[in-house]
Amino acid sequence: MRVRHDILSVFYAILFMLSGITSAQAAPSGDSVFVLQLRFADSLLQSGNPFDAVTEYERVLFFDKQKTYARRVLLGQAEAYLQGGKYTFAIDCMNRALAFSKSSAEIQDLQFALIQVHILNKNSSQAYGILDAMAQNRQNVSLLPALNYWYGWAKIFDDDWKAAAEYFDKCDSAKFLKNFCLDVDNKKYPVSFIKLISAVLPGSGSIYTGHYFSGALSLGWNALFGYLTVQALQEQRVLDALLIGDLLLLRFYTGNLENAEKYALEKNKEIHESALHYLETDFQGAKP
Amino acid sequence: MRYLLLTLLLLSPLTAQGLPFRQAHERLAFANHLFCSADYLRAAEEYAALPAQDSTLFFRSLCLLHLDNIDSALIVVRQLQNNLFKAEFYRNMARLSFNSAHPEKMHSLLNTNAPESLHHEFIPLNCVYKFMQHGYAEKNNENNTGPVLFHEFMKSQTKAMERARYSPMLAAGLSAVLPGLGKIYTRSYEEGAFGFILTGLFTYLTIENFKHHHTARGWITGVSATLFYGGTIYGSYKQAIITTAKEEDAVKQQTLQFLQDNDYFLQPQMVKPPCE
Repeated sequence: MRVRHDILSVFYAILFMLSGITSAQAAPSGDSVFVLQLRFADSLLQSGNPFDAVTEYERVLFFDKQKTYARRVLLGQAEAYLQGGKYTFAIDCMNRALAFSKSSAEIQDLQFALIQVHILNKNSSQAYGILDAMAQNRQNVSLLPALNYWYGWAKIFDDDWKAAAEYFDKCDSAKFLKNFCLDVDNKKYPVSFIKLISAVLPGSGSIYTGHYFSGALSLGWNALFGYLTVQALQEQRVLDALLIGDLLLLRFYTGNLENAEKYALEKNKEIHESALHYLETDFQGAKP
Repeated sequence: MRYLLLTLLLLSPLTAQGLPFRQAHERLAFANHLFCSADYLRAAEEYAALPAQDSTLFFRSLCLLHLDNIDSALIVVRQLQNNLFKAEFYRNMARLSFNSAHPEKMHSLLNTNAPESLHHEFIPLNCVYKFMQHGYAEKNNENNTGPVLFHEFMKSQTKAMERARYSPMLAAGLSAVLPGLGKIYTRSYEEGAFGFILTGLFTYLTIENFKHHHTARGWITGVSATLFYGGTIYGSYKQAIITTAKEEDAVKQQTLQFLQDNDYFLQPQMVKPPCE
C-alpha cells in the first residue's frame, strides 16, 4: 500500500514537472508577449471598452522599445478614441502612426483615414490640406476619383452642397451623391435674394421663409412709421421726421432685413442638418 | 502531497498564461510613464494595482489631486507613513488649488488636513486666496513670512481692488439727478452722453408739443422721455455692477500673473516620478 502511494506521488511529481515545462513553453516570450498583449487590447476594444483598450495599447507602446508594433498600436488607439468620440486624440494617434508607416500604401490608407476623421471633427481645413497635398503628388493620379470623393464630403460638411456636387460629378461611382447634393442645394433658400426683396418690400423676406405673422407685422410697422415720417416732412416738422425716421422707421427697417436673413439661415441650417442626418443613417456608401 | 501536487498541476497553466507586463517593476515604470504624460486617470489605476508603498501611494494621491478627486486623494494620503511625502502632497495640493474646479473645497480641506508644521508655508497662499475670494489681503499677513515684494504687491492690489468697485446705488442716484451722470461715473462715457442727450431731447419735445397743444405727440414723446430717463437710471445701476466685475477680474488676473511669474505660492517645485 505504502509502495503504491509512493509510486503515485512520483507519477504526479513527474506529471507536474512535465506540465511546468509545457506551460513554460506556451508562456509568452519575445514577440509573442506583445502579440498576446495586443490581442488583449483588441479584445477590450471589440467588447466596447475603449478606455481600457487605450491603456493596454499604451502598455505595448511603452514596453516595445524597438517600436516594432508602434503603427499597429497607434491605429488601435486611434480606433479606441474614435469609438469614444475623441476625434482630436484619434487624429494625434494617426499622425504619430504616419511616422511608423513604411510603404506608400500604408501612408495612403492612413491619409484617407485622417481625412475622414478631420471631416468628422469639422476641421475641414486640415482635410483640404491633406487632400491638396495628395492631389499635387503626381504619383497619385490613380487616386484622383477617391480624392474628389472625399473633397465632396468635406464640402458637404462645410455646407457647400453645390461644390460637393461638382466634386462628386468627377467620380463615376458617386452619381447618387451628386444628385442628392444638387437636390439639397436647390432646396436651400437664397439668402441674398431674400434680403433684396426685404429691402424692396419690408416683411416679404420673412413671408418667403414661412414666417407670415412676423412678415405682416414688419410690413405694418414699416408702413406706419414710413407714413408718419413722410407726413411730418410734408408738414415741415423736420425734427419730428428725423426722430420718427431715425429711431422708429430705421430700427424696424433694419430689423426686417436682419430677420429675413436670420430666418433664411435658420431654414438653410435645418435643410443642411436633415440632409446630413439622412446621409448618416440611410446612405450605404463610403462616408466619414 | 497528492492533492497539493494536483492543485499545482491545475494552476500552473493558468499562471503561465497570465498577461505580460504586469510585474511590479513593469507596472511601476508604466505608471510613471503615464504620470509623466499627464495621463493621471490611467496612472492612478496603475499605481492602485501596485503594492501599497509610500512612493506609489504618494504618486497615486497626486494623480487623484490632478483629477480633482480631492476626497479620494486625502484617503490615500492617510495611508502614507512618511511625513515628508505627506508634506509634499499638501504642498502640491496648495499649488493645484488655484486651478481646481473646486478651489474653495480644496482650500478648506488643505487648511483642515495639512499638518500644523506646514501652516506657515501656506500663509502667502491664504493671503492670495482671501484676496481672490473677497478682494482684500489679510492685514495680519504683513508681519508674517514671505518675500517683501509679495506683501507690497498685495497691498497695491488691494488698493486697486478698492478702486475697481463702483456703487450701483450711487450710479443710479447720479443718473436720477442728471441723466447719464451715473454712466459717466462707471466710465461709460458714450452711453452717458447718449442718455443725457436723448432724455433731454424728448423732454424738450414733450414740453414743446404740449405748449403747441399737440397732446397726442406730447404723450408719445413724454412716455419716450420717461422711458429714457428710467432706462438711464437702471442702466447706470447695472453698468456699475458690470464695470466692477470687469475691473475686479482684471486686477485678479494681474495678481495671478504676477504670482505665477514670481512663483510666490510655495517654494518647492512639483514632484514628478522618474520619467523615461
